[in-house]
Formats: sequence, structure tokens, C-alpha cells
Amino acid sequence: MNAAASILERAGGLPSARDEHWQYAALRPLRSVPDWGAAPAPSAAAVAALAITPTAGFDQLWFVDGHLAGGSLADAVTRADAATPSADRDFRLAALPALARLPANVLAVAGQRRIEVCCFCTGAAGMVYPRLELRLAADADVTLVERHAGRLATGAVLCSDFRLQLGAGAKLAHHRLHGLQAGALVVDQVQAQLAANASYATHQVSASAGQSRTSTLIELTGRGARSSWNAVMNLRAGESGDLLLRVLHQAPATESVSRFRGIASAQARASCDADVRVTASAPGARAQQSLRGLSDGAGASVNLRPRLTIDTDDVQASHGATTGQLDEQLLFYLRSRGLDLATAARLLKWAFLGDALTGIGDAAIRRDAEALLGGGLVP
Amino acid sequence: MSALLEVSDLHVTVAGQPVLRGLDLVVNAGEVHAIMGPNGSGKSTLAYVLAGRPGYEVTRGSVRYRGTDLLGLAPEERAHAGLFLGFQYPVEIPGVNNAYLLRTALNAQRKQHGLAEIDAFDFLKLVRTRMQAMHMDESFLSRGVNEGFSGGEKKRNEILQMLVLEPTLAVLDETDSGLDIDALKVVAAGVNSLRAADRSIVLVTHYQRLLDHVTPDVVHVLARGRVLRSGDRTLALELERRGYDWVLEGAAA
Repeated sequence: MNAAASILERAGGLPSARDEHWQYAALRPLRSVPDWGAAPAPSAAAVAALAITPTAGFDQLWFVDGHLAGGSLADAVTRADAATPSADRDFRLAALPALARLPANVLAVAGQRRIEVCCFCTGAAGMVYPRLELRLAADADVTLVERHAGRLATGAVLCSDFRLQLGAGAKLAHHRLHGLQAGALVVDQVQAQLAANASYATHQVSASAGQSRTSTLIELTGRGARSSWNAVMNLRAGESGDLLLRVLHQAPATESVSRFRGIASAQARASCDADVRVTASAPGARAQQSLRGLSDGAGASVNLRPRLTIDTDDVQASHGATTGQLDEQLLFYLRSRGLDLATAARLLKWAFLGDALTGIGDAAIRRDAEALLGGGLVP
Repeated sequence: MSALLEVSDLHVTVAGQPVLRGLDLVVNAGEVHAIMGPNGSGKSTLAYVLAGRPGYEVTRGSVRYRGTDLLGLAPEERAHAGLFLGFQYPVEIPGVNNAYLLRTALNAQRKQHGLAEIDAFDFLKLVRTRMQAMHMDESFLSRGVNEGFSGGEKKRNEILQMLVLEPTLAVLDETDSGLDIDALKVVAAGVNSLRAADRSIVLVTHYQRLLDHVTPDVVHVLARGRVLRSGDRTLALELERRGYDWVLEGAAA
């Protein structure tokens, strides 16, 4: 068995459509991947040629083809041993980078910080496995912007593994902006563990990858921990985006909000599987879930799966999922005011998606998120 | 006096059901017409057909607006040509704020007339003036279109839009419904402020109380899909006193 097959085998093999939480993922392209070995580390010249410009006000980490390549925080990163494969089969692909012998890049953060993690893909052959473990000290207050840009080689996959540990009282605002070239294949994982009174708010914008699957696990392990997960998709013809969210309430008085807004244009497929579990050790938990999809064009499909599992009597929870098309009444109202059909449709779509972006407090980050989603959508 | 709107033998079906069955109507420039009639008579259908709402099928007849076939125009083209529909049930559009819609609509109209987009400062000045006339607080501008508005506020917002867009033909579908007397006066004042020799207004209403404040030149009774009777303002008073039966009986005879 070659190294590539061995990597996958040790991770538990590729998911299949028989795996309940992978049934809407684009699995065929994954099966076509010829080699799961990591792309080679880039040369210093190749990194220099990228001419990466630091964003004012942010400390940075740069990954090029999955390898830590620089940035103002690079010297603060320590390396950890490879992780063992996850027992949770839905997150087993998170082990691939470790199994490909890539170290975990660990960054410990304290105090108030603004961090930008830029992941560039140069098109070099091989899989791109950026790995980062961010450990927030107690009461740290961090804004993290994660950007993915560039192009992947044919048959390559961006498979990032981000693990976040929030100490007691720590706050993390995490903005994930995927901006790879059209047709890219992305399979990534985010796992966050929150101690008492920690707070994690994430906004994920998926707008350009051809086929993407993001699995997010949020564990509220400490009393009073809170999470807010917001995901927005605007998929064009032929694209597919699949999200799995799992939130585990494992301590008292924890709170979670899960919000998805996805638009699938003709022949696109948007899916969101949001699984919130309130265990018996989480009395006083509050969980809200709102999943909304818009199908716009022939062959568009939106699949939503809201799930709430509650094992305690003391809980406040709500969930809802709706899919539909652009409201004809609203379209006519706007047209009666002189907006042409295309402009009216764009405006309504923008209003639909904007709902999940309102929590981005930083105006510049919000503009970047809007620009990613835009593609002619931004009015 | 030139006809601004000429509706001739208009037959319309909705969901396969005939609603308008040979409606004729002529509105000259500068006139205010009131269209009254029992529930289900086709008043709102007429308003929607004039504005171009999808789902309303014209099976016979014609509508000419300023000498041009109106039915061949898309809804936005009718708006650009100066037609405005005040909705009976204005929709809510969360995420699209009132200022943005107003400015976009105004600029779309200006573009059609070969004018440059309105300057932000000038726009605010224009809108503020109109909002004062409608007794609307400026905070409404930053809210979603009709989002969380009371019924009366929604109707005021419709008139505000009309005042900003200054249409040549305004069709107001039950603009007075749900308004208290003070709101009615404000709305009526807004409508009256738009009266001009080159502008016409069609008021679809159930009640003559709006007509106490906006004096119509002509009152029509629309029933059974057609205009059965027309008259001056006194017709509205008679309908208030006698109802519609006598009109229907007269038409059947």
C-alpha cells in the first residue's frame, strides 16, 4: 500500500455517501485525488515572489501551500507532535495533515490581539494542509481573520485543520474568508473548545471554491461558555458547498447560536447539517438555530438539516429551517419602483445573506466578506 | 384635455378566473379619479394590471398610457414612464433600507431620463423635506423597507415614495385603509400636494372619507368586473348613503 493510501487508511478512509453526515458532500472529486501526500515546502524565493503585504493593525502568519512560511508571529509558533486521528468519523479528515507528517503549528496568545492568518496556494502539486492550533489564555480577546487565496493544482485539495482552545473568559472573533480560484476543492475542519465564560463568534464566508466541505465542532465545556456560528454561502453554477456543524453543550448555562444563509444558483448545491446537542451536564443551556436557503435557478438545490438533541429538562432551545425562492411579491414591489429584475433580485439576495453578516463588528472585515460574496451581488 | 390613461374593453383573468370583464376608463391629465366598488369587484386587479404585476392575464382589450401601449411594458418600464402604484398591503423587505430603495429608485428614473444620479446631499435634502410633509421621523430612513412599520406607517411610506418619485400617474390602492383620522389627513395632504395639470391620480377606495380630503373630479363604481356608473363627487356620497345594490340593480336592468 503506497504512502498516499496509507494516509487515508489510517485516517479511517474517505467518507462515502453512506456516511450520514457526508451525503451531500462532493465526494467524487475526493475519490479522484491521485495523491494525498503534502505539497512540498515552498522555497524562500517562491515566498518572496508572492509579495505578501501585511494588513495594517494585524499580526500575521503566512502559510504557503500549507507550510508555515513567515509573518510577524512566525517566531512565536511552536511545533507539536502529530495528533491522533479523531474518534469522531465525521472529523477524521482533520488527521490527514498529521498523518502526512506535517507538524501542528501552535500559537499561544494572551491579551488583546488582532491576528491574520493568510493561506496561499501556489498551484504546486500535492495536498495543501495548513494546520494551526491557537491557544487563548484566560481573558484573552482576539480577532482572527483567516484568508485563503490562490490556486490549487489539478486534483489537489485544500485541507486545513484549525484547532482553537479558549481559556476561561477568553473571547475570539473568527472570520473565515475563502477566496480560492473557481473550481477549487476544499475540505477543512475547525474544532473549538471553550472553557468557562469563554466566547467564540465565527463568520464563515464561502463564495468561490468549486466544491467545499467544512466540518466545525464547538465544545462548550465550561460553565457560561458561548458560541455564535454564522455561515454564508453564495454558490454559482456547478458549485457545491457542504457544512457540518456540531455544537456540544457540556456544561451549565452555556449558549449557542447557529445561523446559516445560503444561496444556490442554477445547478449549484448548498447544504447545511447543524447538530446541536445539550447533554445532561448542561442545565440552563440556551440554543438557537436558524437555517435558511434560497434556490435560484433550474437545478439549484438546498439541503438543510437542523437537529437539536436535548438531554436535560432545564433548557431553552429553538430551531428552524426554511428553503425557498425569491419572493415574487417582493420582486414586483421593487420593480414597481423602477428597479429592473436583475437589480431587484440582487438586492433581495443581498438582504437575505446580509442577515448573517450583521455580527461582524469590524467594518473593514465586513467589507472584505461582502466583496467575497459579491460577484456582482453587492448593490 | 388630453387622455393620460385610456383603458378599453379590458378583460383580465387571475388564476384562470375572469375578474375584469370589459372595463373602460379614461383619465385625463390633471384629474383625480376615485374607483369604488364592493369587495371582489376587481379594483385591486385593475391597479395591479396597470402596474404590470405577473399572474394577471389580459385576455382582451387595451391600455394606453400617454398614447403608448402600457401592457407591453415591464413593471420597471412603467415606473420609468411615470406610473406609481401605492400598494394596499405594502411588503416588508428586511435588509434593504428605505433610504437605499428611495435613492436607487430615483436614480433608476433619472437614468432613464438621461440625468445624472442624484447627489447624496441633494437626496437627503429632498427626502427630509418630503418626510416632514408626511410627519415621518428621519429614523425611518435607516430601517428596512416597511420592516416593523405599523399599517399607518406603511401607508405613509408609500406616499413618501410617491412624493420622492413624482409620478405622472399615481394609482393608490386603498391607501386610506387602516388609517386613523390624523394619519388620513397627512396622507391626503401628501396626495393633494402632488396635484398638477400634468399629473393624474387614481384612488381605489372603499370609503368616501378619503374623498372628504382629496376631492375627486370623477367617481366610478366598479362592480362585476366593469365600470357600471360614473359621476362626480356626489356619487360617492350617494354610495355612502345607499350602498352598491342600486347600482348593481340599475346595471342589470
